[in-house]
Amino acid sequence: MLSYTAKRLAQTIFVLIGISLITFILLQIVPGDPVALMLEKRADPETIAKVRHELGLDLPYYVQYLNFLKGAVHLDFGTSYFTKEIVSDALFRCFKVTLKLACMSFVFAAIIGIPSGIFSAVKRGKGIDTFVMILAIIGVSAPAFWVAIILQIVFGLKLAVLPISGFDSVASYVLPSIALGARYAGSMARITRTSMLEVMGQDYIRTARAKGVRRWVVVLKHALKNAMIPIVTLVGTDFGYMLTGSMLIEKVFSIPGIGKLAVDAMSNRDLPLLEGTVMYIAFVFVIVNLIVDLSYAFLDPRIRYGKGAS
Amino acid sequence: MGKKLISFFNKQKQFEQDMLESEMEYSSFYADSLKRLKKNKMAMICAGILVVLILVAIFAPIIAPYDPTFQDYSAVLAEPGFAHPFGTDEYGRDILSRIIYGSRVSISIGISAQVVASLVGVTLGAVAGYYGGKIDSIISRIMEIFQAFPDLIFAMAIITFMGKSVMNLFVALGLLTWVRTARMIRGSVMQLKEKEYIEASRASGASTFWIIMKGLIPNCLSTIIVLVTLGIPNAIMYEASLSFLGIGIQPPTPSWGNMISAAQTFISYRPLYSIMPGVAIMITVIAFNIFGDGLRDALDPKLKA
Amino acid sequence: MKKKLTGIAILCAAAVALSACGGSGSTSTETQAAAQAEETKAEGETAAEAAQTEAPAESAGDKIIRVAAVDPQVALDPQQYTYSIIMKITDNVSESLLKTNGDGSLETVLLADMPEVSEDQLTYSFELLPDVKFHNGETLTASDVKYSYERLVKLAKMATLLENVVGYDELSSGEADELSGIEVQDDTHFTIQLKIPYAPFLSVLSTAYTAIYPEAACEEAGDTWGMKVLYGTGPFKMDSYQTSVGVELSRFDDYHGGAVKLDGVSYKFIEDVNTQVLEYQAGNVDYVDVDPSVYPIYSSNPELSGAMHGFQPTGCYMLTVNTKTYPDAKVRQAIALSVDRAAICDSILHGTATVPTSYIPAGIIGHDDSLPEFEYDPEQAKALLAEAGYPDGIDLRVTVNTKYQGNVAIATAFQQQAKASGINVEVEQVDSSAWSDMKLSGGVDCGISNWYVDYSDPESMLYPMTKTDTNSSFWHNDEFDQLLQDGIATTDTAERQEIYEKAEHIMTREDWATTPLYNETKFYLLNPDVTGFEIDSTFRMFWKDADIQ
Repeated sequence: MLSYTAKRLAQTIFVLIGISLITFILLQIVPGDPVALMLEKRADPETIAKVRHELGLDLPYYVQYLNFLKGAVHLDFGTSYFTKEIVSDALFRCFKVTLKLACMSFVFAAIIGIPSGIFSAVKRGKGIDTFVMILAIIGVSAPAFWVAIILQIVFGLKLAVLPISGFDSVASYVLPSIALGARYAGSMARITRTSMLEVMGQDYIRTARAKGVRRWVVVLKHALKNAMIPIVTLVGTDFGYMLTGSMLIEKVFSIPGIGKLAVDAMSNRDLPLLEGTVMYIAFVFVIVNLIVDLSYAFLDPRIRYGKGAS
Repeated sequence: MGKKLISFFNKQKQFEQDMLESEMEYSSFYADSLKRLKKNKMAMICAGILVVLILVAIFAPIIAPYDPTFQDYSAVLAEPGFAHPFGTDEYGRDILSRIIYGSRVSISIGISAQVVASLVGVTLGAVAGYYGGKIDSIISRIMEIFQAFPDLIFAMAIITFMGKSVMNLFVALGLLTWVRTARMIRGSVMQLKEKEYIEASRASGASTFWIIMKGLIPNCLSTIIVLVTLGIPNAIMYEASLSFLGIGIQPPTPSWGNMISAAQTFISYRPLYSIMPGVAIMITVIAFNIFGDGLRDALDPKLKA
Repeated sequence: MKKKLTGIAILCAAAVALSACGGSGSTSTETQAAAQAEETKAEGETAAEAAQTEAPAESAGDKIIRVAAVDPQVALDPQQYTYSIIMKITDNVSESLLKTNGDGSLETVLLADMPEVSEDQLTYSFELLPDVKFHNGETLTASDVKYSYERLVKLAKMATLLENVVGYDELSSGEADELSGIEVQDDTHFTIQLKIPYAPFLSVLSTAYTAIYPEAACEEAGDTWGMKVLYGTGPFKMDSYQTSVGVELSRFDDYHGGAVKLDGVSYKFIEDVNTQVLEYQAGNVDYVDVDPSVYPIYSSNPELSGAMHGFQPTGCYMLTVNTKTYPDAKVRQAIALSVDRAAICDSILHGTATVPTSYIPAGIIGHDDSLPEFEYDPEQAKALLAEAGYPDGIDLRVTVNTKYQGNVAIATAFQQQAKASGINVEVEQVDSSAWSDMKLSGGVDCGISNWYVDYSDPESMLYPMTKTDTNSSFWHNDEFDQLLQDGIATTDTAERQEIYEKAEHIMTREDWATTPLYNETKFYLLNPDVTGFEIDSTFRMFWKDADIQ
């Protein structure tokens, strides 16, 4: 297990270097120049040259990239061309926001998704099962930004019970969390149902039922426990995705999270900031996948203890 | 004992016979699958919806009451009514007609993006799975890089680089979604290449290209079909998101995503303008998802999750 | 539908309950700025419940204006960044020596009197008001003025505003450390020497770029100037500026210009313009800019129409044709004739805009009011194209910056209108970065853009047409360039009027390098309880005399 982890971590470093290089190349080939943007009004050639020099953009490309790599090793991604904010500070600032949003969306998705999945599995084939599953598939299929706009207008403006935008109070997190969490709630409900049905078809569950153990006790005590593995896997990956920020939701609700930081950096061609954000998102993604893979091995009793744990 | 005597030619013949048998098995497999699929009521309803959607897309010029790009300044932001069931937009264009034409964009983009994704994904997946070793680990790292790269940023960069056109959008969306296909195909090929008939053909000196094309990929066909069907709604969502951000389909071509984006300004005034394109996306995506699930259950139950 | 809504409501209630619990428990991530002037509209149980977890509300009766703004994402320093969204904020914090009034006349702000100008128009003598305090308590001196102007030149971005001051070239190239043309006599007296007579000079000194900062504090702050620290002599001091969140200003009690009625101004950064308007409708902000495309919605809504205000900024929207791609003036004229400006003004802009008669807008020297409106004449355009050798019409790529939603709409309308002249328009949408890059590199064949004066003088309007190639037309004309030089060399208004009329004619009626599209009206929604608010035709917003009734 340890050597496996070490190997995966080594691969991670390779992937991160690849990603930073691709980001660098992409920004060089994409039309757009941060200096031209800065000097919108009076961009004469001398001024442009002066500012390019200040930002170090007059150095050869490979020197620019190597300088970046040198800094990145010490988690120093430089300073934003525009805000002059230290990139790691900006990342941390936005990460706090994204983390909050991710936690709330996650809790929302889990609280709605998992119980309705269990419920649906127990009531398999009944009308309520179909209804819950239709809701779940709507959640998965509705564009999140569209849900966001509709929630904004209904709860923010017409009913005026929740803030329309911003992130300055807990209440202002409610609508974004629902908009972001809806599709995850949907997918959690579906996986929970599938996984529960599989477990509930197994012998020991039937035996327990035959012994007269009450139905819900069987469901919650025995079946759920064993159905957890695929659920945890999915839920873990979902949480990882949420941590990388949602550009669309953040845009609609004006939330200063990682997603907005990334979009801003991209549209300003702010290389240090973009590198930092992309590396962060990639890192979270890779690490979450690693943790999920490891925990899968850890959680699956068949791998450690053989069959029949209950 | 007699096997030792079989000539090279016979070996080849034997292999072809094996292939034929496996193909026959396959045709009965597909027949069974179809039967299973037909029993799935929800999937069949969704298949029906998809057929209708595709017909709408094809016959949009006949069905749509107006030219979707015609600007009628005498009816700017008209209220929904008899002349315009969903009203008109800020240029006086009929919203219903734009939604009808929007189906062309969404469906064609969904399908084309998946064609691109499958071409890239199947090729790289098959190569990685077949060769293994260094080639596999290089391709695997590339897949990881693509997966870990923030998707919308990547799409923004690609589209800004190549220019905003429908063709480029196909490519960008294909590049966003090929990894899943590649992974699955790589897994399948790894299993399949150990099978006897593949080893036999390798021993008989068949070219690698031939083995991959004739021996391996046809056996992954059901996986590919399922992945494409489930990938289409994914691509449709990406298109909507990109158009919402203003980097997808360009005006005056209507797309459901750019309609939602434009309608946002008027949502408290003309709610239907915002709601209807979203509903259209939802119905299409739901139909593809449920039908795709049904296909998966029927064709390849192992693919679940 | 109803069922679904109920469902959403249930989900929502659950989430609210959750968030309320979560909020009180996990305070670690709740690092809120203490001075949050945001007022939560406590309507309904849920919001009230949530409000409890917030920072203590402002004490009742504080007069704070809440302004919806777009996050500039950069230092609030016009010397470094030239976006008008920055000046909307900084004009209430820092001040320049002079101020331009609505009619173009100048008024002293930090000066005891209007400066004296020598007979040869080369020497300006200034006297500062005594005892003007900066927000850090220091007193304004003449050396602060000199420092601020030198900083403007060193920071390069808007340096050329002072290019006619003696010593500019030496300072700009790094040969000298100071702007030798500025001589400080004592704490309140200084003179500025010009190289050549420069008529708009005092107008230049009224712009936000020439704001006066306290030397010591500004030097000390370095890169954090405008991010963490910003001191000026204005009516409000900057308490905080949080990227993506907002800016908090509070009243400066030692303001030299008399008592300020407001307690503060709170700029809330709301990225999405649609969301901004929703926030106004919900009563969460007092001021919001409104896109002309939504004008009829609000003007027809009796609740909002009283709050809707308009003003005409000095400048115009235009179609700029790249003279490298289309060297034949006939083709450019044909393009100009293919825009139905009246239709655009009436439909897309809902009658809020007017068809222009000239590039130099009304209200400044050089505007020729005898000119007719630019017309839409596809037949003549066709004929011109045929004359130029394109009987089958041309393909035209129109590039628009997606930052301005309106531009996309105009391009879309133009696409349809130009068909009649045989011009096949392809609309290309690019983001701001690509736009500014393409403009400079010649990648824009035909672009929709706008230009507003920085100061009420034709020189500010025409500047980009001669000195730099920033307007994407790459058009140059010797006679025109000469006229512009003559135009700044004299202060005689009648003479200047004639010079600029001639220049205008060459540019927009002979060479067709750029063609005006429309003169817009800008709209904003302002809480009807707010009085005394001033917004001028160069987009500058002043909350100095504002009050909430």
